[in-house]
Amino acid sequence: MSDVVLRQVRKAYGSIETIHGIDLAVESGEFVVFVGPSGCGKSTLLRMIAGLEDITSGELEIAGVRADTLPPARRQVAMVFQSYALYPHLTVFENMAFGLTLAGESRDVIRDRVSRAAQVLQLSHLLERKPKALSGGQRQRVAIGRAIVRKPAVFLFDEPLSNLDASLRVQMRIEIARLHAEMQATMIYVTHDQVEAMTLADKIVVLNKGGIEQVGSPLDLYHHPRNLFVAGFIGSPKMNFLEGVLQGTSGELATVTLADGTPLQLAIDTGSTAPGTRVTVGVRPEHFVAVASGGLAGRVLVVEHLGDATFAYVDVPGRAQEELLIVRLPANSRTRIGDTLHLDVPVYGGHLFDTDGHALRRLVTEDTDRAAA
Amino acid sequence: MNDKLQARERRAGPIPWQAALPRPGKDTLVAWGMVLPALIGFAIFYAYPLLQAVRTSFTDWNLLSAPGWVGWSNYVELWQDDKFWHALKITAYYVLLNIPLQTALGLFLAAAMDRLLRSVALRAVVLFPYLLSNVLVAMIWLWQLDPTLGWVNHALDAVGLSSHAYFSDPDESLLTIAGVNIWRHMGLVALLFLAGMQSIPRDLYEAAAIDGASEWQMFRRITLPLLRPVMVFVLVTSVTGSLQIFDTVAVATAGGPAESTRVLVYYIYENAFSYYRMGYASALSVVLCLIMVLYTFVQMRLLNANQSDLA
Repeated sequence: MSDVVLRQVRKAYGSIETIHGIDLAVESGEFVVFVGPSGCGKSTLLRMIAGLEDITSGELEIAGVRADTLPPARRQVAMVFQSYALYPHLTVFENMAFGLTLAGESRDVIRDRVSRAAQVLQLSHLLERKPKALSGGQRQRVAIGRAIVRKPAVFLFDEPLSNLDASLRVQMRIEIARLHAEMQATMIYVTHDQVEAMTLADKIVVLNKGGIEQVGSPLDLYHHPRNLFVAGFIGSPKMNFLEGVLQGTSGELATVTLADGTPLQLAIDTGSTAPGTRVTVGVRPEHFVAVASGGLAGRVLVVEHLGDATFAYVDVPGRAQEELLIVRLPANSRTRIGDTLHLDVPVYGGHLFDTDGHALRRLVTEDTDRAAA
Repeated sequence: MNDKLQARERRAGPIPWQAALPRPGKDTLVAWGMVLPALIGFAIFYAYPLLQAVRTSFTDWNLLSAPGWVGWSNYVELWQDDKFWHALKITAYYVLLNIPLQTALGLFLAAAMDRLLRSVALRAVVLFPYLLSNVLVAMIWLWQLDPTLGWVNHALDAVGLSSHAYFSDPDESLLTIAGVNIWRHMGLVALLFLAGMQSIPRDLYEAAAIDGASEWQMFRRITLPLLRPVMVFVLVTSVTGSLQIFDTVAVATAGGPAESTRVLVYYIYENAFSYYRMGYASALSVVLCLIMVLYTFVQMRLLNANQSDLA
């Protein structure tokens, strides 16, 4: 059963429409992540589900009830804000109990629910403190606790970790994943951080300019991006794009010639795309293979050693300076600045996009290719 | 441009304004230099007159002859002066009439402007009475509330309600003066509260809305507690201002009728400029000043004025 259903949901400010007819179903217990660049409408969409923004047109259903005209408190949702939004004059206990107090719950029920949530979130020793006496991570846990005690049908998270430092963010991410696994609750999570999206989500919704670009599992989006936008947005470092011309198809292999004349063979169903069509080849940094000679040649301008991998930024002739190719090399690579790298792309490693930016169907993924090998 | 600047800096070393920046040791001097103009003004226009008033309160100065030292006798007289206690009682009554209503109306207006009507024009209208001088406001209301010529009584008559004497009735005069001053100051109080309300993060209200709070519950449980520092400021300034009520009384009632509006500052004025008893008037002023200092101190301590939950 779907816990949240959006049908042709739109948002307009005057004559300017910012959310363009979203259709989406979030299943019960699912962890759905809205991801997209700044200004794509992901937070607006979340706030529309929460009831903090009006829905201009369309329908919203939460837990089987038509909710687009209900006030926020009656939508059975709880929200965790980017800024935590803790009541600064109240203690941790009072913050977590706020909604229950307003709902007229008895003191025993309030104490019981707050204590349980505090235990789960390791906040029991902080219940008498005020928010300003807490660290960023503790504040975020209180905000989550405030949501938990209300036992909502749907949890909404609006970039909850973006105010935390890198190490705390990882820790909190794991805690949120653990909470979801324990509670099996329906969660909708907004982030612009695709690592959060990839690690937390059962389903990712990629948004761009107020519309959905693609919905799917993290690996589905990674291996089968529907278009250039999703391909470029999902994956870190991002996918490299090279201009080329489709030469033809032989069996399951499409042959493409890159701008510098390098031929590539990729396992892609080109469908009705005619030979001679200009295409864009997408290659993820880890799919390049350094070879002794031949292939795509370029000069290494920057080398980053991350310990578990090395990233080389390669200047390929015919491409703009700012469009360096990013290549993932083994951790022990001895590649240096100024070296010339020769790069090959295995048949499973490439993506192909037509002139409109739509992906042509890949016939294999890295996994299936390895399994077949 | 930046490149050129940086190149020049590399050639010539630090550019002059960087060299001229004060070393940390000079910070204090610079700070004093900046504070000094205000400090001079404060010394000349506040501190010196205050000290003079304290000195004069121990004399029998009557503006005409040289002041003679009389020790504590002005204060002893004041303690035994029924008119002083009456004036103090009237002033306290005025403060009690004025402040709760002015604060409540200011809060209501601010909340309405913050949550419902975000109109700059409305803010201007609300503030407008405060831009008029006290004397002008008193004149305007004196005419409007005139028992025979004022439109207010005509309007009351027209709808069948009984007319009032307002400033001329001992039972209504202080209430009327309080009403006039509430009308004048309400907008300013509202704007001060509005500024405080707008510093409260919006997401607190959003969180409260999701938690199920009504507008009233948000106001009572979020806005009011978080307005505490502004509330202290408003209460301190409006109470001390009310304790010094003078202009409206002087213009509209001159302390009457039947001494019903003879507030403390008007009594001080009478002693100083009608009876030429500057020494006694100064003693009254010092006592009023002490009352205000004591009130301010207690108010700020009770409400932790220097601590904000939002900080």
